[in-house]
Amino acid sequence: MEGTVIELQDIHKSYGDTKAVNGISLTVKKGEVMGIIGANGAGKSTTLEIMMGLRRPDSGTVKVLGMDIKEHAQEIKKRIGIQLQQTALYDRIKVKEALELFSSYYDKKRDLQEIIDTLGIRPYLNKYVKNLSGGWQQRTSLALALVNDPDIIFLDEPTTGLDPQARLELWACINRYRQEGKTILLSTHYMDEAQKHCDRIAIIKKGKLVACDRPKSLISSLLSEEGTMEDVYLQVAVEA
Amino acid sequence: MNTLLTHTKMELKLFFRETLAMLFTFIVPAVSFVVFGLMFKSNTYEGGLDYFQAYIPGMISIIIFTTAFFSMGLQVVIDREKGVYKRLMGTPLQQNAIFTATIAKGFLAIYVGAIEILLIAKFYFGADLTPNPFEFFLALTFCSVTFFSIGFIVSSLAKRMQTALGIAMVAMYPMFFLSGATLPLESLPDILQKMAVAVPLTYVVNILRDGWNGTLFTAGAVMDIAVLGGILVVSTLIGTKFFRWT
Ligand SMILES: Nc1ncnc2c1ncn2[C@@H]1O[C@H](COP(=O)(O)OP(=O)(O)OP(=O)(O)O)[C@@H](O)[C@H]1O
Ligand SMILES: [Mg+2]
Repeated sequence: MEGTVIELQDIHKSYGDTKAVNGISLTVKKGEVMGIIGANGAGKSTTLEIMMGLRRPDSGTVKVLGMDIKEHAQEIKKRIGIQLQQTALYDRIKVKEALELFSSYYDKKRDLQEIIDTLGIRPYLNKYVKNLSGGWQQRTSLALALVNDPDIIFLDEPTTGLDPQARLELWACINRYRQEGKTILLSTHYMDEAQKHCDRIAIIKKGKLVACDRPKSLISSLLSEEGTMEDVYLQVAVEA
Repeated sequence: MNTLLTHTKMELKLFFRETLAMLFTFIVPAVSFVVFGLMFKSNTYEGGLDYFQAYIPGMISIIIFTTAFFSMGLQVVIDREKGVYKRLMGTPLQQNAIFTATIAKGFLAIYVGAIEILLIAKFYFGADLTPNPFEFFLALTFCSVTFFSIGFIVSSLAKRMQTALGIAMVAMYPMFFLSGATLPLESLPDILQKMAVAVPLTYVVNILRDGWNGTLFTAGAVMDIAVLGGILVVSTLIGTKFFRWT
């Protein structure tokens, strides 16, 4: 599973005086599950959305699947799947309609029935997305990220607000796609799941990448004794 | 092409699920047309027009306004605020397709609403329809496009749903009552008649009446067409400059 699929070089992005991203460089290898953690407002969503091609960095270069995002945005969009932090769907659309609609946007399609069964959303197909509980909305937006059988899947806080069982089930889904060799980038505030499921974890603090390594290495390099990702987080990602 | 078609169909489907849009496009104008018709169908209005010659165009003007401001301008702001467009930008769907679907929705709402008024006029009141269907269609299409461009300004300048709703509600009163679409302008006090000049829908009412009554290509219509044409150009420029998908 070699080969770099994402390459960020010295990315900057400001909103007025706020430096949302302040010089981040990062590479992600094919087949990796990369977790992005950091405090609220650290710049996780901004970084992810720059990689998705939804925000333009003020400076720096972004390469996805070997292509420069400025020149090949359209080509890249065909091969990635995204889930935004907010559900971001029409108010009056039903689950099934959303799936069919998004599927129609792509030439390459993954079998919708398979996605529906994997995510267990069949009972909700004829419901309005808006009326679903948070967990089922999250699953619906994950399903939408999969309709084109993408090479890279970007998930912005996919498990936030889910009950423990729903989180486990969602991770089971994510791991299934990881086994197919897909590259997965996700942000999370749950240190236990980052530690358990991510190959590497990038820690962002105030728009800067302060650490990026395997969970084990992060834990052993930063702490004298055996600890958890939570200890690492408190030590590295939080204001002194 | 298939993508554009599917996306447009969904936009239309969602439109027909908007209760308020249905109310303002297909119910309120039609009901008003019937109620006023029952009361005033034997009246004669300015220029010697009968009720149908004056108020078939009038009610259709109302449909043009509500479509442009509510179903298009406001709805775009709602969808944008929800992040729908941002999500769509993450797919290969082209922005043109979203734009085209919105315009298609506007035309559909107006044409269907207009046909509804025509059917009521013909089969409920037994009125004569226009001898100039092509001229009327042309006028209708031109007025629609002009108002789409005004709706485009609303969605460009309003960042939040409440702002867009506020603009549409405030615009509604002069558009409904000072344009001649519902109340005969000649029955209004002088000062209100003067204000009608500043209400864009006034020109729509005039042009639709010209189309309906076969005077679209006469000197009397030039001024109205020029004003709407000017509005179209200016709004398109403003909209294009300030519109943001996200
Ligand atoms: N569109 C925007 N306009 C202005 N400021 C913005 C915008 N988007 C993000 N910011 C600011 O940039 C900073 C980083 O925001 P971002 O959403 O990337 O953080 P995050 O790490 O995803 O936070 P959270 O954990 O709360 O989701 C914040 O200070 C935020 O207020
Ligand atoms: Mg975020």
